[in-house]
Amino acid sequence: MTAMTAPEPGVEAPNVLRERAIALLRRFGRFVRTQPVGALGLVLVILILVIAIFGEWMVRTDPNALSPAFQEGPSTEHWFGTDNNGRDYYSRMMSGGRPTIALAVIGVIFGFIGGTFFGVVSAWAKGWVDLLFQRIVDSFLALPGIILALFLVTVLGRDTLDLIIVLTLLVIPPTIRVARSVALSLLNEPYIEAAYAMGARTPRVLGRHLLPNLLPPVAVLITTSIGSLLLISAGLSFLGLGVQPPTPEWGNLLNESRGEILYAPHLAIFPGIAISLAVFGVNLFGDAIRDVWDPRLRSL
Amino acid sequence: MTAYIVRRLVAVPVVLFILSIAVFFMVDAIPGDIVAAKLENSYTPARAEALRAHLGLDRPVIVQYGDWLGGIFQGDFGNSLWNDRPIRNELWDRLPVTLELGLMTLLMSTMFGVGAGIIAGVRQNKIEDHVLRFVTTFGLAIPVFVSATLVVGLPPVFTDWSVKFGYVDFLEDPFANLGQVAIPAAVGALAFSSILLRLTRVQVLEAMRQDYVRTARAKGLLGFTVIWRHVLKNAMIPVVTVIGLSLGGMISGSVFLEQIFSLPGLGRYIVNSVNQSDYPAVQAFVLLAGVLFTLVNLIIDLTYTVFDPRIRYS
Repeated sequence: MTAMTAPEPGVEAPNVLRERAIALLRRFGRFVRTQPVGALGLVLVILILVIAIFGEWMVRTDPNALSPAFQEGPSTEHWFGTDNNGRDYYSRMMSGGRPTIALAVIGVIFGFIGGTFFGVVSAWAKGWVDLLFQRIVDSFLALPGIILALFLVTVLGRDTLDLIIVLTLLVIPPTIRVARSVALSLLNEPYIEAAYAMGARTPRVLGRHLLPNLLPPVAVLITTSIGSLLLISAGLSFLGLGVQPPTPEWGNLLNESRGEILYAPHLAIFPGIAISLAVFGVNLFGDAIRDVWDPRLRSL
Repeated sequence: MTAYIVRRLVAVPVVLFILSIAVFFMVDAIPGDIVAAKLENSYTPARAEALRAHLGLDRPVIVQYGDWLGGIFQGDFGNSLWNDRPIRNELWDRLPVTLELGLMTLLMSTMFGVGAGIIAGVRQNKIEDHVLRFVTTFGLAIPVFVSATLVVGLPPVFTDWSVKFGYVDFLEDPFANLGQVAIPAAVGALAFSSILLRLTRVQVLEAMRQDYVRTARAKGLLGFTVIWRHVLKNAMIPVVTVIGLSLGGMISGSVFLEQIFSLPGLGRYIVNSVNQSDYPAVQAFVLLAGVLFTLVNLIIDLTYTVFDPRIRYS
């Protein structure tokens, strides 16, 4: 900036950015005011994410380090007490969030990508391909989530990669269904026809014209399914079919506590609260997002 | 509407056929040799060959599938890999426990959920409404395996009372049996009745705003009569649907509840079978669950068209 010249595009940018930031803050403020329960959910979600991401560094000792302190209650030295091997329960709780949450989040992301892809293909292909896809989806949806998860664990196994595939396969069928129905209505829009008329090829029409309009509603609906995915991932570990001890994970911590609960109830209470708050927070936040996006979706 | 019913009726066998293919061939694709695992230390090529022939594993896989599916139509689900007992007997022995648990859960959650939901709706924004909605928050937030663990674990710490383990058969001691199943059923009902309560409340609120309710009041009918005849009759249709759809939830709930309360039902059997890699047992259970779930959904969808004449499916 040497002399007073005509304002360059770059000079204006900070103002635009500031206005955008203010607008975003306003929208956020409105979200908090109109959806106070959703805001509480958001606080819980952030808390849970902090534990999932930074929990490994929030520990006070090695979560697997043994000590002579047998089933001690909470104290200043061991905030959440110790378990039957004298391991610091606070440290185990802090590092036990990541497996559950990471599995659920990764499952939702992969399932979202896969489900959207197949849903769009199914809607676009029409005819017998669509019909076949839908019947396959139906047959997956014919099973309650946890039963399907148990079956897939039997077939695939219990390693981390297996569990990711299991959770992904749980998300794909409902996502296909939602993505297909949204895509079917969007394919009738004039702008799709216009894009074809201008000579665009199918991949471009689907990728550049259909997808940007399809993703938001599908994403909003899938957000509401993270809660049940968290439940299934913690539930599998609780049944001894997910993350295996000694790796701490909230579900298997709760399961391990069952034998000792009479002498050390804190071992059950902490993971119980953690799982409940995680599911609760995600559900509240997801519902609020859905209501803000489109109140009509409430019945879905 | 006839077209809709026909379409639904045709779709069901197709869906179940695809499910049976998935269930059979996905298990078939699992790496590892069942014969080798069964023989363990006594493995010799000749014995393996004999056992393979005995189990019918030497035939083409498509023939095995046909055989398996044909057997199921005749009520033969094969034998457990774990103890060689027919899976049909294993399932049949455990069915009553799960059925009892499921029915009791359903009964409790319907009584509490619908009853309290009507109260909450009629007394909107009064103290009853707030208290009940607050309670449902917990019912919705706490997963069933968490609440069940705490119900089993915490009372003995603070009181003399504790959950009794060791399943008592109904024919042996009906009261002990019912008392034993009632506690897990109540835990399951806590979650499901919360959903029912919220739904009933919203439906009642909506029905109370209708013109015909105002007319009924204007005619001078008693408050109770208005609620019973005019509000509830219309508010209950979606509630009935959700109660019907809860079957999936009952099956899922039984998996955790039977595990935690040590009830010898189907839910515990499937978890054990998964743990022991008892493939034929898992296949049979999953297929049966799918059949049951699909048929119940079909029945609900069809009765829905009867219940609510406004619905006209294209």
